[in-house]
Formats: sequence, C-alpha cells, structure tokens
Amino acid sequence: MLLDIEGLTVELPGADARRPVLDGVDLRVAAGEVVGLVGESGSGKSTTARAALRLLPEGAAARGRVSVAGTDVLAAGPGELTELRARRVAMVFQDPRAVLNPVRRIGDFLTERMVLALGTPREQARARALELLAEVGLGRPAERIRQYPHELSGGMLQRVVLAAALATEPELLLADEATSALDVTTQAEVLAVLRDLRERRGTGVLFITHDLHLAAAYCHRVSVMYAGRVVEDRPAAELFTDPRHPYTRALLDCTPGLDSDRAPRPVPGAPPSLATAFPGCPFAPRCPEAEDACTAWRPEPLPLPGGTVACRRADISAPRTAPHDPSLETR
Amino acid sequence: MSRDDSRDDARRGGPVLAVERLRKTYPMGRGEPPLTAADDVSFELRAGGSLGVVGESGSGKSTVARMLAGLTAPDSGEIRVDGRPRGPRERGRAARLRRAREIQLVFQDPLGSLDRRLTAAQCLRQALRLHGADRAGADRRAAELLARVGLGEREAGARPHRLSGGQRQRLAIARALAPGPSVLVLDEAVAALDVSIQAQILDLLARIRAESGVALLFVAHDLAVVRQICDDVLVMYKGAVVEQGPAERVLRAPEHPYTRMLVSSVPGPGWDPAEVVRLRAEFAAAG
Ligand SMILES: Nc1ncnc2c1ncn2[C@@H]1O[C@H](COP(=O)(O)OP(=O)(O)OP(=O)(O)O)[C@@H](O)[C@H]1O
Ligand SMILES: Nc1ncnc2c1ncn2[C@@H]1O[C@H](COP(=O)(O)OP(=O)(O)OP(=O)(O)O)[C@@H](O)[C@H]1O
Ligand SMILES: [Mg+2]
Ligand SMILES: [Mg+2]
Repeated sequence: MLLDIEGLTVELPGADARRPVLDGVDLRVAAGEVVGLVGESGSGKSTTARAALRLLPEGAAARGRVSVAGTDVLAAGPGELTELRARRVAMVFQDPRAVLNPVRRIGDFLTERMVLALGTPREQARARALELLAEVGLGRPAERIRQYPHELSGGMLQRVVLAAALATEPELLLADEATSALDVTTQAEVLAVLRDLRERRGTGVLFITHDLHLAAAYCHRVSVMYAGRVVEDRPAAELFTDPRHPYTRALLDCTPGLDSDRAPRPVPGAPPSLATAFPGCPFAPRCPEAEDACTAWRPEPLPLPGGTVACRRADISAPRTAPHDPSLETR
Repeated sequence: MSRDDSRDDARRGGPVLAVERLRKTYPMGRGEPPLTAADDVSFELRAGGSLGVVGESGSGKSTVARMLAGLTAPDSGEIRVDGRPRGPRERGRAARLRRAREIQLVFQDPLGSLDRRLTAAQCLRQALRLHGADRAGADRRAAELLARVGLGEREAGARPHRLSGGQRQRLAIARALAPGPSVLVLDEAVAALDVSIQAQILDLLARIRAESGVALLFVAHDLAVVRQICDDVLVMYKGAVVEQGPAERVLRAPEHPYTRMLVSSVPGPGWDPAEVVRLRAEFAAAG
C-alpha cells in the first residue's frame, strides 16, 4: 500500500477543542490509484492529507499509523522526513498565488525546485521546466517562464504549480482542491496528465475535491468525511448510485447538476465546530433519519461489499428515491 | 436625477450596465505579438438581471471583471452604468464614492481583500460610514446586512481569520452590498466553497437579487452553478465572446462549436479527460 493511514486520531491543544480534529481515520491509496476525499468545510480533509507529510497543526498530538510506501511517517527521523517532503510526496493546493513568490519569474520557481530537491544542473532544469509546462498544457512555455505570476491567469498559475509538483516525480500526490479553480477543459487537461503519470509511474493520488460529479467520474474510490471521521468509503460508482450514509445523500442533494432542474438543497444546519463534542453520531443532529439511539451510538465503520459505512441505520437506508440528478444515476 | 430614480428608470427599460467593444491587450515581450485578453467584448445587463461569464482558463473573464471594477484600464471601449459612461479613474472623493456605488467586485479569495484587524461588524460599519451613513444608520444597516447574509452575533464580532471560508465569503458579499451598488461582479466567488455552503450562497444571491434589484455579473467555471443562478450566459474564448443568450438555451443546446465542446467537457457518466483534451485540441486546430 502506497499511503496507509490507520486509526489516525489528531488532537489539538486548548480548552476550546472538545473533540479530535481527526478521529480514528482509516484511508488507503494504492500505487496508481486515485482516491477521492469529500466532505464539508472543516471535516478534516486537509488535515488528513497533511498528515501524510507529518504537517500537523502546531501542538497537535497524533495517534495511529501513517505510512507512505513503508516509511512510518509519524516516527520518521529528520532525514527521512525531508526526503519525503522534498521529493517522494508532493502536495498541490487550491490557491497557486499562495505558493508563488510574486516578484520571481515562473521559470525560476520551477527550476529552483529541481536544483534544490534533485540537484539537477540549472540548464537541464530549464529544459525540463519547458517540457513540464507543455505537459500540463500551458501554451507558449518559452515566453511564460519569463513572466511573473501576476501576468498569468489563475488557471495558468495552477498548472505552473502542478508542473513544479511533477518535477520531482513523486510517488504520491496530494491534490487539495487542486483543480477546483480550473475550468472544465483545463481541469480535464490537468487530470489527463495526472492519469498518464499514474499509469506510467504508478503515482498514487489523494484527490480532495468538493465537486462530487468530478469525484464520481475521476476517482476509483471515494471517502466521505464528517467531523473528523470517514463516514463512508466506497468504490466511486457505487457511492454515487447507492449512497448509504445519510450525510453522503445530503451532500449529493446540494450538488447542482447541469442537466438538473432541481435547485440544490443545502445540508440543514451547519457543520459542527471543534468546540462541540458528541457522545454518539456527530451527524445525528442534522440527520433526517436519526433516531434517539443514534445520539448514543459511537460510529464505527461497518463493512459493506467493497467498502464501509459508519451509520447505525445503514442497512435500512435505501438507495436514493427522491428526485435528483439523473446524470449521477446512470453511471 | 437621483440614483434611485435612475435605477427605477433602468428597471423600466434601459440596461443598468452596458458594455461596448471593450478591448484589452497585453504586450508579450520583444518581438512577440501582443496578447488580446479582451477582444471587443459587448453585452448588456438589466437591473435585477444576472449574466454568467464562462470560458476556459485565460479566456479573459477576469480581465473583463477587472475592467468593470476599474482595476484594469481598457485599451478602448465603453462601460455605462445607469446610462452614464464610467470614465477612467476619477479624482475626488465624491466621484470615487459614486464609482463604488456603481460596481462592486467580489473575488474568489476574500481573505486578501478583507482588513484583518476589523471584525465583521466593524468592516461593514466602516464601509457604510465611508458612503455617508451616520453612526446610528451605519450600525443599523450593518446589522441588516449581517442578517441578510446569515451571519450571527458570534460571527459579527469575529475577525476574518476566525471565520470559515463560507462565512468570509458572505462577509465579502455583505461588504460589497454596503454601498448599495447597481452591479455586483463575482469572480469565481463560490469556487472555493464546499457544496453545502455554495448552495447557501447561491440561495443568498438569488434572494438579494430579488430584494434589492442589484444586477449580477457572475464569472464562474462551474456551468451547473451558472445554469442554476444566471438568466443569461456569455461564453468567452481567447478574449472574444463566441456565444451569448439565455443560460437555459446556451447550456442545453449550445450553437457555437466552442460552447458545445465546453458543455460536453463537464464531468458526468462516461467522462474521460483524455477525450476532452482531444476535442479541445481538435477545436483549437480548426479555429
Ligand atoms: N492549525 C490549526 N489550528 C487550529 N485548528 C485547526 C488547524 N488546522 C485545522 N484546524 C481545524 O481542524 C478542523 C479541520 O480542518 P481541515 O482544514 O482539515 O478541514 P477541511 O475538510 O480541509 O475543510 P475545507 O474544505 O474548508 O478546506 C477545522 O475545524 C479547522 O478549524
Ligand atoms: N497583467 C497582465 N500582464 C500580462 N498578461 C496578462 C495580465 N493579466 C492577464 N493577462 C493575460 O490575459 C489573458 C486573460 O487572463 P484572465 O485572467 O482574464 O483569464 P480568465 O479567463 O480569468 O482565466 P482563469 O479562468 O484562469 O481565471 C491570459 O492570457 C493572461 O496571461
Ligand atoms: Mg481543506
Ligand atoms: Mg480568472
């Protein structure tokens, strides 16, 4: 297993954190596999991804196991950790402007990484930078590398950042809303590049997104997070045609569809803050199917064919019957 | 004629925003042809209307948004709000405030545009005071705006970095609404939000539009979202408008080959990124 997270619990210091940020998270990504991670804001998606690099919030205490291709990340020494962060695992975020230095040229940003992390000679790094830019579909690369970040559109900058991430040929790519700011054609271009990489080099991808249609179409498996837990983990196709957790259904109901006339319905209520602790299922207060017993049931992943679901009522939650987006049905 | 009169006027007939042959080019370095970011872009928007702007990365959507907001000067063309030409950067406090009341812009990442030292309520009061409200009036309107965007008492007293992404975006929208603008330009303003908060904000925008008659220019790459909240849509490709019309029609039965390609690229059953790339390349070669 390339990325193997088992029972990961992360607790923050401070009196106002009344429950763990991550609570017994299990997540796996095999070589060449794309695993989607979805869930509302604050559910712990980024924290999970960052744990693969041991980039934990300050003062956090972590329990459980995180391993990347055999390296025990939580126990790794400084040398191993540097190696992991500099070349074996790459992470791409949503906002490229946050990682690009506004007063440095695009070309310098790309070559610097290769020179520093891989010791590539500068001339060779420049040639590789041009190749990488072409690979992620950026036109006129020779001119682009002389430009500054403010001269490129948001989607172009994101491709620059992705090119930089690919420069070290990582084993694992953590894509945190990395294509969310891209239009559909650019997104497809970037994802085709990633797929190619997966196929050629067996790169594994943890794909955090809020676009459920995209997760359904692009990922092999998808995990749904709520309040620091994985509440459902299924093959992508099944998750979308036959969601078992009421939260997964609620998420699908607030996703607008291009072919759908139904107005998206927000999940009632708000996601819980870290200041709220739950004796039972954390989704119960917002769940249309909750019973009294749910507020006392400690969620645990229950096995399903090909996946798991952490819902007391999973066996009785039938496939979705409410009118909804047909494009999700027929996959 | 007061602004409210002119807005009523606009509601009766004329467009609240009229954009005519807006053009913007950028030099690309020595010996290289300049890049045309906006190529004679024209459109109209009526009061309470909503126009979606879609198109691939680099097609010029943000360039148009920035020209409307006055952050980028067009090479040529005209922007009229309530029938009145919007000149180049104007001097003087009164003129600046009037410009701010014409068009307000909300970006994707609100953190960069919010003052980190001000709480949500202070931020709104400051904007309202700037636009001439007295202390009591600013307090009252700030409370109204907070309620309208669904921010509670706790959030009202919080500084931006203590707010969630969705809360921050709602604050940014409230602040943009503070001057009572005729046009609200949203550049990828819901792209960073999770689906549930996105649904809340789309709800909010629809409500605000109905209540205040503000017109929306909605730049987005998510076609489903555009279809959800826009009456009309404008499709850009390489700086030019290639198709324009009712969102329902354009997105269901696109006429221009580029729009057809764009719509068929939306992830759904059987979606294959490589196929999208192939179609895109085919289109670029033919065009
Ligand atoms: N460095 C930190 N210090 C304190 N709290 C943190 C820190 N990082 C994350 N948190 C909290 O941990 C929880 C999970 O955050 P995380 O960023 O993992 O969520 P997410 O699912 O990625 O959300 P989003 O979709 O908004 O990116 C949130 O309640 C957040 O406020
Ligand atoms: N200040 C600038 N200097 C040079 N070129 C620029 C500048 N600003 C924008 N451009 C160019 O103008 C073109 C249009 O950019 P714009 O940001 O409007 O695209 P967009 O449609 O908003 O794209 P995205 O979906 O990626 O945000 C791009 O080719 C970009 O590189
Ligand atoms: Mg996150
Ligand atoms: Mg843009």
